Amino acid sequence: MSNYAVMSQTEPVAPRGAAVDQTEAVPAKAHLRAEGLAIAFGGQHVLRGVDLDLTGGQIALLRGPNGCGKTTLLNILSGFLKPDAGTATLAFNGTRVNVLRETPNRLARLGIARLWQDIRLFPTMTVLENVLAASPHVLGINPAVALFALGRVKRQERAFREQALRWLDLLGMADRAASSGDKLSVGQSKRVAIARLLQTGAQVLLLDEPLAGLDRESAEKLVHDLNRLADTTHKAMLIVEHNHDAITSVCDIRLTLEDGRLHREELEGKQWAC
Amino acid sequence: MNYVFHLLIYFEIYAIVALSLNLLIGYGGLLQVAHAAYYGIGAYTAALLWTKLGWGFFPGLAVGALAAGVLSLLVSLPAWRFKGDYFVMISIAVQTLIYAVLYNWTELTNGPFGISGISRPGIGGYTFVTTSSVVVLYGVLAVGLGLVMAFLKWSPFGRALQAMRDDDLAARSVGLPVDLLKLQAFALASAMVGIAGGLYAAYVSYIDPTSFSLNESILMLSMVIIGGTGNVRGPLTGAAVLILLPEALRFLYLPDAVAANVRLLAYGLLLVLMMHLRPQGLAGTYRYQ
Repeated sequence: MSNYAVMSQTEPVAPRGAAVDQTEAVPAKAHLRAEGLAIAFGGQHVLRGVDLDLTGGQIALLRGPNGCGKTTLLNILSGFLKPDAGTATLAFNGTRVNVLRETPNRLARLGIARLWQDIRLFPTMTVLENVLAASPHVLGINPAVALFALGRVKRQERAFREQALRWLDLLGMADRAASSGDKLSVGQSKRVAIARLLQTGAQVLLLDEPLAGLDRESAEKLVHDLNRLADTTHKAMLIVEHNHDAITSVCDIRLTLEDGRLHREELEGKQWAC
Repeated sequence: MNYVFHLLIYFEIYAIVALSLNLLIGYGGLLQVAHAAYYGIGAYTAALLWTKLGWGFFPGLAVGALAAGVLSLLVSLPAWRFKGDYFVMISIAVQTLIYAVLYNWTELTNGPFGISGISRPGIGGYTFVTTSSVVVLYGVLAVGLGLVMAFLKWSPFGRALQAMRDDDLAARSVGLPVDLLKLQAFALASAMVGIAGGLYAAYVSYIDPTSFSLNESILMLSMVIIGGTGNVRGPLTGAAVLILLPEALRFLYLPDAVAANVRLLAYGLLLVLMMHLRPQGLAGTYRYQ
């Protein structure tokens, strides 16, 4: 029985503003489940009832021809697009979130964050600032708190800084922490963007073509790091990638999007990092 | 000497104005063209409280700032949906609307005749009558507000604004509350320029709507663009340049009818030159796009 099976499918989903609902029977790992997602643009049906089931620690490859709706699916799951039909829920650590009711920034805080195909680092900020900007529940983001609770803000910032440097170190970018976000190669930028995702604390990472533009060696290294992250942090990853050969070896699931429907294959022989 | 003090007071007032606009443009990437309207709200609110209700200097200034901060919702709420050129159009509309209210709500604002007899600033029983004492008071306030702005730039709030400015979508996707940040930035900047408006009213002792028109907003915008954005010294440089420029033109002894047009020509020329030669401004670090 899957972890998710212990949750009733008729369980009420928390309304907007109180979207996080404390429940008893929820899995320890994050669990993302979508059912019947459908969307059409100008009469053209892109997704026709997509079902998805992903648990913490799993890596899923999402593949399909150009224009089949892979990025559209990521846009829906990250809150940037509302589907015409379907449901999506995220369960983690005693909470259950209705994904489709949330805004992207709240979803990142509640557990789903995404890597953009075009990376989108903050170009005028340093690598470290890029990662720090994604820190969750920052006290000093409120200007009044920043001005009048300086001690607490400083202590929290120190902790965020240490965490950000750990993520950068894990991804081999700690020595570039002071570099400007617009002075990095494509591969380095992707590593920083992944460190930024990890800093959000999200349990489900949606990665849109993380290997695009990388040479073979960099791609292998990144795949290895992603695998290690999934194993050690129990984060779930949904990866859109055209370079199937490079990534399949570490995937648990292969999802193929075709004619608006998702076909799922469980993969054997995953290479474990530890 | 009084002339130099007079220029210094104007510099102090416009330093606050430029620093507040820099919070929006330089830190947040929000091209606000209604800043003079909020300057006017601060000035009128404080002036009415001082002249009609006999309030003290600082309470009037504070309520003026509060009124400007609350009314900033007129621009910050549309900023959730409108970006770039569309947002500029919205802020011009808000500028025009507030100007029209100041001009036409004659029962309250006395319309085009303005409000006169505004008393000089005072604390307790002491009134800042001499120009030099006003220089000191306004200098302290300008430095204080400048330090707040500099501090906010290096705080997590400033970092979040910078992220929003660089890439709105990416900022949202890493969990930054972009809409709330816009509300906060507009409220802070408007409250700050509201204070500057109050200081202006108390110094000149007479205000009318023409001091808060679209032209004034464009002058404020020019200060920030010419001086530069993204840091504190850029807007200060812009404020100094645009206060001193008309004074320098004075020494050309042009006829009054010509001088105003020459000044506008000089502003336009400066803006065009800056766009071509130094898009980040004289002392700025961020190039507005």
